[in-house]
Amino acid sequence: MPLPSKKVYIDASLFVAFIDRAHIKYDQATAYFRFFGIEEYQLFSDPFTILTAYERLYDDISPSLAKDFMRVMALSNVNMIYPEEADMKAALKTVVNFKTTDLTFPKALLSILANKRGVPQICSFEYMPSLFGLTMFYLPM
Amino acid sequence: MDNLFNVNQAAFILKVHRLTIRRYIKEGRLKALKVGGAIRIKEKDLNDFNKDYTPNTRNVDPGLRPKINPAKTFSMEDPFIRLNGRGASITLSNQ
Repeated sequence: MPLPSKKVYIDASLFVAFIDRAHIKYDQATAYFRFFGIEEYQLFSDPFTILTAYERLYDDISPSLAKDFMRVMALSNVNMIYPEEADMKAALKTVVNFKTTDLTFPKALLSILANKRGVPQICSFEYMPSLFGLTMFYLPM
Repeated sequence: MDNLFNVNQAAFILKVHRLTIRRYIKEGRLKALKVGGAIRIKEKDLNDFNKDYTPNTRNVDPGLRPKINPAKTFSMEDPFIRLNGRGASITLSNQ
């Protein structure tokens, strides 16, 4: 039986839920990050995701916490994948050609970047269309 | 006295066609002698011709090579863990 991959792409909703103790998914997000830390997973994210999380923290909680979040992300071991021009174009093409309107540009870009770095799983509390064979990450029971 | 090889034998040793051996001789790359009307190649000359070959590796500037940073692993000592439950939203937008 093949070993499950230890690479996971983190969505903004998970960052926010982990920091915001009033979030409905706070306990779940804490469990996820504890699992990633104990099992030494490789976590990936991109600047757009970080920016989204920053904006949510800034608007819903406080600007100082949003600033702390950015400071911590600079020191964190979460790997950043910086999009190139080709990735942006590919995301745009994916959004334009996608049949339904469920796919947003950030989600398309996220899927493309994850696929580019060979990250097979995405951890998110939001709906994610399964592009490029990406699957949602669930805690193993 | 060195052993002498004819063109066919030299071709067999070098694993090339006999006409290739004749061409090498004509171009002066492989030394040979004429014994009467026949071409003969000294064993020493054949060994000299048959040198070890190391393919040329292109000297690419290491700065130009795309850098592949190894992915960092997340741990419980990560600074991000310290942000756990640091804030509480007052809006109901995320619930």
